[in-house]
Amino acid sequence: MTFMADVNKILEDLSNSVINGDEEAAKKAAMEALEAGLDPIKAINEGLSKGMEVVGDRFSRSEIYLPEVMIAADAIKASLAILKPKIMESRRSEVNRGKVVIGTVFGDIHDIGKNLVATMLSVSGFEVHDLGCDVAVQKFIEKAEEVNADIIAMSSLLTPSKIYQKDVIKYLEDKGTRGKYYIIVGGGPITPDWVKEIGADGWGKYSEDAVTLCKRLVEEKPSKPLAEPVLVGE
Amino acid sequence: LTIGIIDVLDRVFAGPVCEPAEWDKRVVPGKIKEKLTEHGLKGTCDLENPISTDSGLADEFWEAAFELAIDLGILCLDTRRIIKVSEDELKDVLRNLPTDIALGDGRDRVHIKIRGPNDKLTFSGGPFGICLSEDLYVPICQSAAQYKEVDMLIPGALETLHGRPVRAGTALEAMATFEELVLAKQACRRAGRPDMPTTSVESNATGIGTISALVPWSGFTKWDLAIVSAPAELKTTNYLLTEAAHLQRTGAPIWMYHHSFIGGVAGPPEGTVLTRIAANILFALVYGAEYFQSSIYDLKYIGTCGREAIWATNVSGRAMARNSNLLFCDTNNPVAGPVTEMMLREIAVSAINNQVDGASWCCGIRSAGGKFKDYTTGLESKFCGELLKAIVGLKPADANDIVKKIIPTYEEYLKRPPIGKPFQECYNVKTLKPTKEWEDVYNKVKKELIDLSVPLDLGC
Repeated sequence: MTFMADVNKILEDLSNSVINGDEEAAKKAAMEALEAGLDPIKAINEGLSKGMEVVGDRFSRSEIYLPEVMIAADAIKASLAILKPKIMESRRSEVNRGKVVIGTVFGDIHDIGKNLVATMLSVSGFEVHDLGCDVAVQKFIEKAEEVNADIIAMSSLLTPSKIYQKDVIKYLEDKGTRGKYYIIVGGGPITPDWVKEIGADGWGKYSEDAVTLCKRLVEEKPSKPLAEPVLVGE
Repeated sequence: LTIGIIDVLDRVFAGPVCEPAEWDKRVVPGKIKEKLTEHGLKGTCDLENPISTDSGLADEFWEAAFELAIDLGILCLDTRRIIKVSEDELKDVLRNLPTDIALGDGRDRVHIKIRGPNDKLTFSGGPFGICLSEDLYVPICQSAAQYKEVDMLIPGALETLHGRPVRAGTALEAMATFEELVLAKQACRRAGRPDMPTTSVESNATGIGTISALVPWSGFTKWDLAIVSAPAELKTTNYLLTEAAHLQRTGAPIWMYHHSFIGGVAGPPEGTVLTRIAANILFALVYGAEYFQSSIYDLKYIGTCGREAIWATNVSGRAMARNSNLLFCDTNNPVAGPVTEMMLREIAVSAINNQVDGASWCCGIRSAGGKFKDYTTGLESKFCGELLKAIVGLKPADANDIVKKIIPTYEEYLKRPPIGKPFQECYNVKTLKPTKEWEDVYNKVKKELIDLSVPLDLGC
């Protein structure tokens, strides 16, 4: 087998490991990529990303559902854990879309919307730190500081819980660190008017809108906090 | 065989361990796939016929769902342990479910009961958990309670209390839920229906609210419904179990509320049929619930009125009605808002499905998807109540013919629906009469239904 054939096979294995949600195969293909001297960025962009595209398309056509996408995201994470450390520092920004700390706010244990957004962000190349549900104000901030996040994303389905989205923003303002993060919000009762009222930086109507929003924020890098929030899917 | 809340708590702290992520990614989806395959139910969703007439299919789904309930159980998110139950325990709880419960008092008394096709559904109408301004809380609730077509009032959620935002898990939650019940009862009295049953409180995020409000001194009676709302179809938490334990001691019937999502953990529409049924059976046992409300949402547009969701709601309802005494209801969740034709058409499809799927009661209206503050009025509840009365005795095949004509009028707008107008822009907030614009829309859609042979009267 030629070198090119080897490379193509490895890229195909990487892609298939994501499509099949096979964590072990994803790790194996990542190791093989490094052993074959393949550029880790090429492995990500032409292997894992291809698989991600297929998974995204299948999800949007209702051929697969949230659990399969979550499992695909796990395969991506497993592979990236091997590939990313081998990328030269100067080139890491080429594959790091950004870091997102996400959770459902305090008093709320509804997680499907948050899980969907977290998963879609993961498969779109973001480094996602999912804090789960019922997350206290300070926990969002502590985690964002710990991982040096770009974005804090908060979900809420319940009226008496959505106020905690505002509390996170107010806490950051009072601490003098509001300008460190983009703050985005979503969930059942979260409307564009609410986003403006609490001074958040963005909102997406559906999970795919949330991904578009995050990409726009990290690519365009507008000054934080935004004077007017970015509203996707309004 | 009969187990109570104490036995459930034993299992909460001693059941098999399972991480929530594993439950969502592999355990539940894997078992659903297995049951759908074993029972030949894969790919049975019939988009051309959203209202099924196939009783055999419904019965097969019941069998599969019952097995699913035994095989899975319910995951407690706090202890990360599974509450497992046996076949005998589930059969025992199903055998002992009530078949007729009276709610309200005096001339406002209504019954939720096992129903024949020629019995009218009991209708719980109102702003249904929608966020309401403090100053509009009573007028909006009263705007629904004033109509005789509404049998029970389901109130909204207070956004603020004395001008302060309500915060879950704090004293404000306890105070706000108490106030909600006081105001909802006030709305019923002002509507001349002092003993009209109310269905719980809506700002009860953490259990503090339920325990604070559902006590006699808020106006709550054992002839009202008391809600325990689960985060997802096969999960619970310590504070939901705490709510159940409290409510069991009030004597009020417990109303279990949960959602299944097409595209979510349950997967395809067929999967949500299984989880809806299995969750209701399990919640009867775990919470001692006697009424069951469960919506099947579609993740694509976060609503319940598209073809897949109507089909899944119908088949799961038909399965429960034919095989159990579960007093269940469907939720009327239009994504469009007041003063839009689309909202009324969505309500009509949902109500027609509700009438023929065997539900014992109907609950709504989550106008504009329940997303927008004050986007709710009494008129949509009146419309739903009138329709439910008009379609008593409707046959499933005829119902299917009607909804097949209505769904195409709105389905392309489900993802980006018109949200309409808030209460204060389409109702006189003092006289509680709808504006002419809103009345005209209401009559237009009623006329459309009359043209489809639904025996409604025009006029408001």
